Amino acid sequence: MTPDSGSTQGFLRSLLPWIGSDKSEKSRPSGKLADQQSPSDSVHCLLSIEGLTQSWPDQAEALFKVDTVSWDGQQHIWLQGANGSGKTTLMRLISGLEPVQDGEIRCHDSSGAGDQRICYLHQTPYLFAGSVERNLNFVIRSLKADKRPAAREALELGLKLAGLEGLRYQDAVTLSGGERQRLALLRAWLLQPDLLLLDEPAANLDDDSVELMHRLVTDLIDKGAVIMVSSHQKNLLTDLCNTRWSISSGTLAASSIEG
Amino acid sequence: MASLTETFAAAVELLVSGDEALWTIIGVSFRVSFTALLLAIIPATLIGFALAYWRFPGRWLLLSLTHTLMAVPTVVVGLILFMLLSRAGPLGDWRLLFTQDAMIVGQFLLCLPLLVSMSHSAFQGADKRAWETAKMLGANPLRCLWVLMLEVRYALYACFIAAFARIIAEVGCAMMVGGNILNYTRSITTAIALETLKGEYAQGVALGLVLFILAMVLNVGMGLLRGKGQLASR
Repeated sequence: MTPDSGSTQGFLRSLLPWIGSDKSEKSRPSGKLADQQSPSDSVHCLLSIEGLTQSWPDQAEALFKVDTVSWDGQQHIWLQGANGSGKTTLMRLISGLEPVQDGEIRCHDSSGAGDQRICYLHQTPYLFAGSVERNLNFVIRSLKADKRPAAREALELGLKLAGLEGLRYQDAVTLSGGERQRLALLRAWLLQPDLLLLDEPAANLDDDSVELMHRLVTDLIDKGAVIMVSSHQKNLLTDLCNTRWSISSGTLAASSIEG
Repeated sequence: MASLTETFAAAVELLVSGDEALWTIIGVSFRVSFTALLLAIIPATLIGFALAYWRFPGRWLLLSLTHTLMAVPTVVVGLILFMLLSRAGPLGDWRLLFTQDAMIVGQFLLCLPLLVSMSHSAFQGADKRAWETAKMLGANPLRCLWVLMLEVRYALYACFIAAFARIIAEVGCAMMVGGNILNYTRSITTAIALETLKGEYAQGVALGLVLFILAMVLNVGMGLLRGKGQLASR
C-alpha cells in the first residue's frame, strides 16, 4: 500500500485535493486537476512535462528522463518502449497515482472549471465485488448530481457498445479476461474522461474484444477525449493514434505517426 | 462442595431460568465491551490505514509501539487508569473511577492497539489497485477508503472479533477501574472471580458458559464468513 516514494505533502494533496493548492508550487496531477491558464495557441495544450526524472527507490540510475514534452488536444499518443522501460510508470505519473520525484507535470484546463479528468486503466483491471451493473453504478454515483441522469441513460448504450448487455447481472468475478477489460473500459467510458490512459489494453485479447474496445474508445474520442495507449503490437487501438512517444535508453522522444 | 455435575446442572438452571442477577451481569459486560469496541473501531481503522498507506517519519516507531501495547497486561492498563482517575489523580475531578464509563475507557485502550495493528496488516495485504481504481473513477477519498475496506473485509471482521474477544474476556482492568459493584460494574469476568472466591461455583460456571458459547458463536460466524471469502480470481 505504501507509495514507492514521495513526500507526506504530496500524499496529502492527492488524498485531499481541496487543501493546499498553491499555484506557485509544482502541480501534481490527481483525479481532479488544479486549473492553469491555457496558452493562447489555436491547438490547446492539455498537459506538459518538464525536466521529469524518475527512478526506482534505492537506485541511483534514473528509470527515464523527459526534457520537455507536451500533449495537445489533437494528439492521440501511442506510448512505446521495451519491457521495463517505464511506460506504466509514466502513465501513473501523469494520472497522479505516483508522486513526481523531480521535475514537473503540469495540467492545463481548457474550461478553467477545474474538472479536467484523467483516467488511467490498469493493465489487469481491478473490478469491484458484485455484478457488472454494480461496477458501472459505482461510476455513476461518483459523478456530479447533474450528470448522473445522462450517465444512467448512457448505460444501456454502453453495455451494447462493449458487448456486455447479456452480462449485466453477472458477478464481475466470473468474467473472462476480455470481458473484464471491456468492463473496465466501459466504466471509464461512463466517466467521460478528458484524457484516457490505456496500459496495454489489447494484451491477450481476441480480435472481437479489441474491436469492441475500439468502438468504445472511438466514441470517447468523438466526444472530445484524447487517448494514450501503451502497446508492443500494432492494433486497432494504436491505429487511432497520431503521435508516437517512445522511451528508449532512458529518454522519451515524441514524433508524429505518418499516414 | 457440590459435585461437578451438580454445579454444572445448577449453572444451566440459572441460565435457562433467566436469573435476574446473572443476566444483569451479562448485560453490563456486553454493554461495556460493545461500547468500547464501537468507539475504537473507527479511529483504529483510520490509524491502521494511515500506517499502511503513508510513509512518514516515526511510522516504524508507532508500529512498534502498537505491537508493544498489544502485549501489555490488562491489570497494568487498569493500574495506570486507576492512578489517573482516583480522586487524588490528575483526572480525579472527572469522578469516573468505579463507573461503567471508566470500564469503557479501559477496554477502549485495551482494544485500540490490537485493532490498529490488525487493521494495519489487513490494509497492507490489500490490492492497491482497489484504491487506485476508485480514485481514477472519480470517487472521493472516503469512498476510496470504503472500497479498500470492502476489499479486505474478512481480515477486518477477524480484527474486530479478536478485539471484542480480548475485551469481553479481560478481568484485570474491569476489576480495578470498575470496582465490581453489583448491578453496576460487575461484569462476567469479575463476577466469576468473586463468586469462585465465595465458593458460589454455580454462578461462576454459568457465566463461564456464556463466555464459552460466545467464543463458539464468534468462531463459527467467522468460519462461515471465511467460507464465502475464497481466493479471488483477478
